Amino acid sequence: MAIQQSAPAWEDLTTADLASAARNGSREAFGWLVRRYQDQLWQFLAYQSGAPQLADDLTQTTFIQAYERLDQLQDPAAFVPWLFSIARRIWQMHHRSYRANILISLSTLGEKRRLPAALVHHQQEIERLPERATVRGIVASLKPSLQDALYLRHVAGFSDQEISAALEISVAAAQKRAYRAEIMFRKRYDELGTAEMEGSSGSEDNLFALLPTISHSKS
Amino acid sequence: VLTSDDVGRLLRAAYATERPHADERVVERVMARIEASETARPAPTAKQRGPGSLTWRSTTVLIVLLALIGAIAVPSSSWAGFPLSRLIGFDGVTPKGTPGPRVIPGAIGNLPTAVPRTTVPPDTPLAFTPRIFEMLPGGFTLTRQASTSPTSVRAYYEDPDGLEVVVIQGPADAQELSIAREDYELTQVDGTDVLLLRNEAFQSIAHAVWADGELLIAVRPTSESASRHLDEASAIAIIMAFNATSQDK
Repeated sequence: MAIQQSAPAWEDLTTADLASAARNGSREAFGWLVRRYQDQLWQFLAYQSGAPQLADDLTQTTFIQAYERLDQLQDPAAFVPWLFSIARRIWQMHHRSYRANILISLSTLGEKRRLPAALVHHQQEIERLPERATVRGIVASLKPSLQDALYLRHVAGFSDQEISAALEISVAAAQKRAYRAEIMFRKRYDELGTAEMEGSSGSEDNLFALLPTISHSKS
Repeated sequence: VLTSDDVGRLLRAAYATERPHADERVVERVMARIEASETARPAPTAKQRGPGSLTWRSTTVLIVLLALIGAIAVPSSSWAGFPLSRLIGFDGVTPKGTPGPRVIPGAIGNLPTAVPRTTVPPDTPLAFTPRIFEMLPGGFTLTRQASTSPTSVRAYYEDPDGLEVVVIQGPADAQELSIAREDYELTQVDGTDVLLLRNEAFQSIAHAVWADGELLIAVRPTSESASRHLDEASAIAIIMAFNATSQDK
């Protein structure tokens, strides 16, 4: 008796299989990768840039650059961290290009009517969700390299190997950064909690003071 | 006291942002742009390419170096006597300044210069012999190396402050490099012609490219360290370290 086996549907393929097919020229496979990872990538770029609309553009640009560089993807199973490493580079290039504008924007903080749209968005968000603002403020107070390691570990759910690929550093360095970032975060969160209990922190003014680093923590 | 799980929960809650436009249209837009970009890009003829212009996806090194350097344009006649111009295609515009010996202010003398060779094998068979050191001046220690093609190898170094730089090497005749920025400098370090690009925002070196025999070498901070300072003295000490062990000398 002959058994007919149909080809697996695209959505059933693993990321490695899709990346491998895309690298061999399948646009359809790449489309499925976009479908599968657009949200995760957008969240990362929204975190990096602090501006959801900008994250939309950067997400598309990242996927297009990834497609154009597929021949450089050595391990299809490592597609996601590789994609994130491209996203980081794109954000850094964009950020450098607009550094001067950002500095000008930051100088207007305190004059609410003149805040750029992205900052207004964050300000509203912060006023609605004070704890969320506090957490973001603590993350923003860490060194940028630690911020990224912390995000990739706890929000993106990356392993040490994946963090290493996304940040283009050694696995040992990735492990060390993620560990240090978590320790620093815990320490500062605990300090803040203590200070709030003593009534010396957590006021609206203090949160507002965190806004520049929250919105443009990568400067 | 927060546990690791608590940290994850807090962070995920803090960074979960509602995505306004997450739907199938994004996939369609990306695929349409890819298709448009591929159809709009005719294969360049040999005449169009020229010796120093960009060819899409020609080599990994090309892309890496182009990202770093960009495309200038210098009349090749003005730079005919400048050895690096043999390896780098300049088409067009005159650069600022003129090449010449460079006087380096600062503390090169204080930097360690011991640079023992290492025999760490690359992960891809190479068509050339790279020059990899376990240490570079300025306290840079080799952390890893990678080769993305037989004609390119990258060695990554980190200093005690966490600044990571990458040294990219490849046979010069396998690279196509053109420069799109006008703010580069052509200079000489220890008798070697060097192309420098600065990160003006940080008063630091964004990229240095030089030739050692038939090898083209570039050093720059990695994207991870793009906002960090690779100071001029360290960059020059690294170039001098390569020179000191050059087989051409």
